[in-house]
Amino acid sequence: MSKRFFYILKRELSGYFNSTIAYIYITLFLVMVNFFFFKDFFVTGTLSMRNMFDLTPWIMFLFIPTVTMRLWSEEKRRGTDEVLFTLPVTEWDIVLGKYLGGLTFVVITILLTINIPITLLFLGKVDPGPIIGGYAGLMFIASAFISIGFFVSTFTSNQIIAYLLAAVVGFLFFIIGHPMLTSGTAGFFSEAMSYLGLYAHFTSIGRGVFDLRDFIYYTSFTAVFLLGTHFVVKKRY
Amino acid sequence: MISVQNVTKCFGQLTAVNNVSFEVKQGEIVGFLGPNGAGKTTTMRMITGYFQPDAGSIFVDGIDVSLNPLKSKALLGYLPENSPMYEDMTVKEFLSFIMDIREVEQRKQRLAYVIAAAGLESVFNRFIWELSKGFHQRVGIAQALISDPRFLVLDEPTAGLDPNQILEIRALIKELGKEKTIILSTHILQEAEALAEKILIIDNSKLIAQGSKEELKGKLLSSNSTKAVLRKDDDFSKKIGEMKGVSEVKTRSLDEYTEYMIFSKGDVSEEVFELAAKTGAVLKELTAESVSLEDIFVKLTSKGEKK
Repeated sequence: MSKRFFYILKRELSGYFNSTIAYIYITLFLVMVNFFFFKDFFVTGTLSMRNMFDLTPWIMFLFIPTVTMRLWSEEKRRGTDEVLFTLPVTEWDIVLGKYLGGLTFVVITILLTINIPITLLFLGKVDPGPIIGGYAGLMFIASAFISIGFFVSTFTSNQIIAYLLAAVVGFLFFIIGHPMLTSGTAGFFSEAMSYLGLYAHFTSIGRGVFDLRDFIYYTSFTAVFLLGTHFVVKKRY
Repeated sequence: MISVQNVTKCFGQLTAVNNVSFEVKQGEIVGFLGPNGAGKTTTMRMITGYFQPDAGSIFVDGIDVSLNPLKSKALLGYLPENSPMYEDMTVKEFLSFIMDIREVEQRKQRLAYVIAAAGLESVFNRFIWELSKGFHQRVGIAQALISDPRFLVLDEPTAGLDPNQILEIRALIKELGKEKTIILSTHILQEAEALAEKILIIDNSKLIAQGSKEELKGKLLSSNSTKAVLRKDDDFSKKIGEMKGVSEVKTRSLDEYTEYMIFSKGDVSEEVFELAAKTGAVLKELTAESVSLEDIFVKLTSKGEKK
């Protein structure tokens, strides 16, 4: 990896911020998260962000594919991947640069919900631990979702198809660990499935608990999809 | 020097490039000529490292493109077909991005040079999606030149330009060719004829001819052709093939007449006239034509054979 990957990242970010759609995306995301949080917040009246960390993964599940759908599809449709792959950069520089470009954009979006913890701070004494843990968790979930969308967008030059594929594959990973499917099975299999699936890891983040197992899970989940992406783009055609 | 050695590339069942070998010497401009879909673009994509060859190897300045792609890519400037670019960037942003990645030193000078060379002063701060096709192509050329590469690979550099722009770009390529090694592809024969010192003709995935214009004319065909239209006559058609200096005769039937295309070394129209008189054949038309690159191209490529 060289510093050249940073230029790919920069180009990817400028690609987001040069388009109006990005601002619509950010606005919509913030409005939804704030609406769903404050709708219940004033009813329950507890100074906790648990509610927000519980529901944001669901919103991301539908929104992150809009971020990732263009990452490769647009390059393929416009033929710009030919420019990229004939520049003196390695495939890893390109894969990591683009992935981190997408991740940075989503992380910025998530951090813009800072108005929620600030509001809590003004209202009373809050425990920062669960809030920091919850945010960290959100970023790791985002990373996993982005890696799924990133990988599937290598297969099509159509952004709509890339969106749907990302959402469907994301949903499959979500349901394989859901109690509704695993309750009928027992022992090791059930545990393995619930570890593999995204659901169980969502719920622990909602509680503000982000332990080592979740960290390993999300990191390896992302790594597997990045390796897959690298494999596909290295082969090209 | 660019050296392409026994390179083959397949896409599934389709063989796009079949055992192609050629060399481009330092400071040479080589024209890659062939009908659409012949394998020009695929060959160029392998030289520039976008595709990996299935067999054979490619060396740019002695560097194996497959083994050391970073080094070979750094030596090459490449204008892909249709010059794809990030439309959401301005010309300035896009060129800066390429300079970043290519680690161009003396950025200001290089930028000023390519802006002037490609004539981009008026669109420098415009978004690429706003540009006309001609400007779009010129930004692509600027992008290929910006790192001052020793080797240039230009896939249809004048596609989409108007006649004046074509002349400008051709003059630019000629100028660059004084110190750079250039491979350019085109399906416009005049372009290859005007620019290239050496011509490679590729058809149906195979390299079917290479050499200078003169060599191609000399080697592959005789330098002259004579068209004769006569009333059908067996004696004439037998003897014309045996005539001295004639390398090939093609006939085409036109009702009661027959059209002969006689390829020969030197002008044989007088001899043809005499032969017609001797055999008593009725000569309707006799035209001496010198062979153009176009004739060679039409004759060599599959479309011509079908005619």
